[in-house]
Amino acid sequence: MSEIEYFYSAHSIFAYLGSARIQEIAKASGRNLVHRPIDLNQIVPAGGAASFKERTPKQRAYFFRREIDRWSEERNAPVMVGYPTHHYKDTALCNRMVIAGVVQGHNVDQLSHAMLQTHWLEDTDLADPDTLARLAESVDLAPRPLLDAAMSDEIQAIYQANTDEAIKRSVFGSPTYFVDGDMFYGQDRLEMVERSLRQPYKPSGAPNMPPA
Amino acid sequence: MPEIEYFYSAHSAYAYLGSARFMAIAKAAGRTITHRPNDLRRVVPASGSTPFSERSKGHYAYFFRREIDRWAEERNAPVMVGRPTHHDKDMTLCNGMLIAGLVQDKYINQLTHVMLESHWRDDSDLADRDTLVALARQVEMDPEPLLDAALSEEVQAIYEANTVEAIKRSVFSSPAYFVDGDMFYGQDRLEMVERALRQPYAPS
Repeated sequence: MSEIEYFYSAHSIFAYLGSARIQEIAKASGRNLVHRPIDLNQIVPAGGAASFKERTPKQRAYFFRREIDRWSEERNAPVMVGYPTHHYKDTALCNRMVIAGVVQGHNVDQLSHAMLQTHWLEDTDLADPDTLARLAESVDLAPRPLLDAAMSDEIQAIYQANTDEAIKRSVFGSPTYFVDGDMFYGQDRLEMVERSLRQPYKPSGAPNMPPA
Repeated sequence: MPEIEYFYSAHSAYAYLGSARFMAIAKAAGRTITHRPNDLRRVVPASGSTPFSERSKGHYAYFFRREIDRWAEERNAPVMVGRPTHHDKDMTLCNGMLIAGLVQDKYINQLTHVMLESHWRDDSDLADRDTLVALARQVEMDPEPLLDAALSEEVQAIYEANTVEAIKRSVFSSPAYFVDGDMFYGQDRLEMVERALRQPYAPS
């Protein structure tokens, strides 16, 4: 089956806001959604963007509050009041648990969605194994095999390979979708993803570099 | 009549790509467009964005080529091959000409649109007086009164005020639209502008 590649982190706000919609788009087009969780701590600086800490209060007010709230309304994806308590914890475990699900042949769509949604709606701690176990059970997946594998070298290597691949393809952040090599950055491009699945956009020439 | 405030520069790619759509949205909503041309060379650095010179090749390939091309197709707004030759010139004259139109009570939607379109489709030089004369005539406006006023103290004070106001409201770049105080940055938010005109988004 042809695919849509999906680079994201399981704690990413904009991945959450687009989560139900990308799954619906993939299903409607008959494409397989290929989950490629990545380590955003390595990604964001590589794209040439300012790190989160370097962004101004006004940028945060617009991109991390007003945009979240409007898109939440637009996508019918409710968010909690305030910022998730555990948002700055290490996200390796949850991302690697999703990868373990892929390696073990499961459909991880629901698990991924449950992580994103509960983190942003119910303030869940995605670094906590008990929370992750409960989330897996909520989508009828046995947690133990996934959590055991999550810490393995095999899964770690895939997590790093996803991250390296994202940097190589100049992924700027989460979420990023690829349709037959064409990159769409941000859940605000999902309607273009949908369009490109019906009718690809024409190819582009060389980038417009400014004078040195 | 209620308004939509429109912060942009007359040479901005994304203002061009959204130009026809934005004017159609404003018209359908029965709102006046309040044009506020501003100096992007000051607004962009003040917003805290990474300076253009420090952005990566991947950034340019995506945001200044792939995105432009896909949106050109999406908005039915053709663009030239390559980067406009005169893109890095001083845009004081063309932006001042638009403000002069406002000061002289002209309706400038069409003049704005032909500046944006000709720069990105036909490689026009918006810093060149003769080019601006031809563009004004194309939309049946008398160029001389506009160009004579474009660099006047009065017009330049408005240009400065627009720039200061854009920085104060944390406009990041061009275009930005304000619907009753709610900022929408980027022509990719025009469908949300349209929705906000029907039904404002809940406050944050």
